[in-house]
Amino acid sequence: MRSIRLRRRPDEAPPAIESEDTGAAAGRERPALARRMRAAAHPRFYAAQVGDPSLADDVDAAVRHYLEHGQQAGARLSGLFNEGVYLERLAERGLGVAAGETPFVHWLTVGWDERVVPTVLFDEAFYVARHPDLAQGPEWGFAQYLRAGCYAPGRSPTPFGPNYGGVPDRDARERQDPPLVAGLLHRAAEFDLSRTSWLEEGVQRGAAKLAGLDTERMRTLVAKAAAIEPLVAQTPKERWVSWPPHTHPMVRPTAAAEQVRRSVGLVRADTMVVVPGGAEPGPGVRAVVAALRTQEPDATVLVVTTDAPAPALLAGATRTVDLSGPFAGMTDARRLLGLLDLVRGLRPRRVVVADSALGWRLLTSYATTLRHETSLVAVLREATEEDGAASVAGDFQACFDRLDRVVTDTDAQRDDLVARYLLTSAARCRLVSAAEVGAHGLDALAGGGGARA
Amino acid sequence: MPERTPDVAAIITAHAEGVMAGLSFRSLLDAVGVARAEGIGVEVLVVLDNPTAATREVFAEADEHGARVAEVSYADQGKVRNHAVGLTTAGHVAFLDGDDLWSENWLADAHRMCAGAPQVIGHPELNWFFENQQNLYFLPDQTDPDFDPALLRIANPWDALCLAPRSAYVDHPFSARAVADGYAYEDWHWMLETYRGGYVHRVVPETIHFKRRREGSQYVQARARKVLTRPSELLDYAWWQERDRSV
Repeated sequence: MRSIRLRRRPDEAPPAIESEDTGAAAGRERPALARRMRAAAHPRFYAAQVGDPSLADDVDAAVRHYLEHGQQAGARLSGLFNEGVYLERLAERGLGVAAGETPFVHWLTVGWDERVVPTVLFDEAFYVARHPDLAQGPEWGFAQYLRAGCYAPGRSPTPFGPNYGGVPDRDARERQDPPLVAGLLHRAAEFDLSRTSWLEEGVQRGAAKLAGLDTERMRTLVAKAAAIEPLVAQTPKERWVSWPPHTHPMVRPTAAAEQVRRSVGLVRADTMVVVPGGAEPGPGVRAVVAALRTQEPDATVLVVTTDAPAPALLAGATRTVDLSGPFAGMTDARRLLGLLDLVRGLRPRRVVVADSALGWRLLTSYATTLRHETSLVAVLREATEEDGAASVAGDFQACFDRLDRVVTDTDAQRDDLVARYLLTSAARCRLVSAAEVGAHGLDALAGGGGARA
Repeated sequence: MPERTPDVAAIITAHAEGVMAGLSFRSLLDAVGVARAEGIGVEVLVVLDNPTAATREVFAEADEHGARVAEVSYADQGKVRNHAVGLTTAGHVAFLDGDDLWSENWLADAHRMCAGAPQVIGHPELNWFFENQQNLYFLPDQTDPDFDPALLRIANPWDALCLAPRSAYVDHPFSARAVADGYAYEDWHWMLETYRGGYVHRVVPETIHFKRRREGSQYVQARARKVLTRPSELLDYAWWQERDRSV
């Protein structure tokens, strides 16, 4: 097996690895080392260790910083390289790292070619069995995972799941910021990240739990059950293992929900307004918020933004909380759990959903239940070319029967809905325009609703 | 001599499992045998909820195994369990679903852990799911320093096939399902209420529940219908603020 190991004496300084882009790398071996080092880098994970957020989005800057400072300080450039694991696995093969040599560089030059997996976060046998197409590929499994698999939501590298994946950002691969970094940085203050992380500790503990199944006692218990029901011991196509609080998909959403609860600083809200954030709200939302300010000046209005912080117009006279930060990188289903936790935790008398896709999902999924606990109001904006009339109509149709009120941005929009759906006079009463809210205030919003806390 | 109050009621509930329920019953009887060998008094109850003829047939001779059989018509697992608790005076109650199995040490080991502590609820260390895909779910112990009870607001880490003091079921009966109104997950709600009530959910080491993956189970149906647990103080931020102050 060919090695690209750099040959140097132990007392030499760490190798100066030039970027391939500069063309300054010496010899034929260095470009491969530089290429591998860059490919393995996870800048946000590295930046968290060295305390320099400016490196988090810059792969090349992180690599340079590592070579100049981090390497000597023992920082980890890659979340998928663990020095302790590497040295242990290397020793199992009768190999070692010379004194003064950086284990990470040793792995890039020797361990990579020896196909030593330097982390507990990847189980090659499991991965290849789950993705048999990779066996025919040009790379070994771990190299494929490092390059591509760790950015793909469907790729699980161990039986403990997708390393707390959630969903990668659209440019995650370009930024080399795979979802597993969120797991590596979870409860970061409690770990020396240069050595380990919450994610690695969890997988290690889970592996120990799994090893416990091999005791005589547990084997006997399983065998006795299998004597009754043979399917118990049937060899599974694949095996999944989860164990809260260490390796369970709901641990990070729980932490995010707790972060939101603590940051909101409230235990009750009278009205909760769910908006996407970012852009200025439309006439319907503005009318609702203005009516609330005027008629319930002492009431607590909480604006919940689901995609970006609140616009100034809404933030000025209300309390705000942004879910997009704590729930970044999580699936819509888990973000929805976070929003649901907030709604049921604060027990508002009224929930107003406006424009937020996540808010609409709350209504389409759980309005049947929530209508018993709070009054539900939706603000229906005029369809734009971007989202199309079908999308807005779909939201309306999916929820209208379970909402106390729907507020439209314009009178024409309201009239169009009345005509198109042949709304009865009773149903018509639940449909009001922004102008009506402006004229009649909260009376226009006083729906039947459910029992209020 | 007055009859001794049983230490444990081992209760199997069944509905349409048919002959599979025989496997579960056999597993329960094995666990009862191990517990009795350790001197634990065990009462065996079978509660059938709108059973199919095939399921009823499985338990037609249950009395020969020392079991009492009751038949109810609730179509609601929580109500069935509440009814079953009313049929026993045992100090502790353990439920088994009619298509799952216990490891044979379950009753003995769980009772040993729970008997000396009036508010401890015992869960198996491992739920071993079988059929189709094998999932191994190691249940959390709330006394684990890393366990975050806020998880209870987001997911249910335990299930109703536990061994608990009878008082836990009497003080906190399972809530009724009301799927049309959007409420189900009665076992999750029970966990919220018992946790809030001061019960401590512990894991019994080296015990296993073998659980069959069922596409048509009430849990699977509940997930598909987007229902929620009933409201609980444990979902309420006011409760958590009080807890923050007291911790």
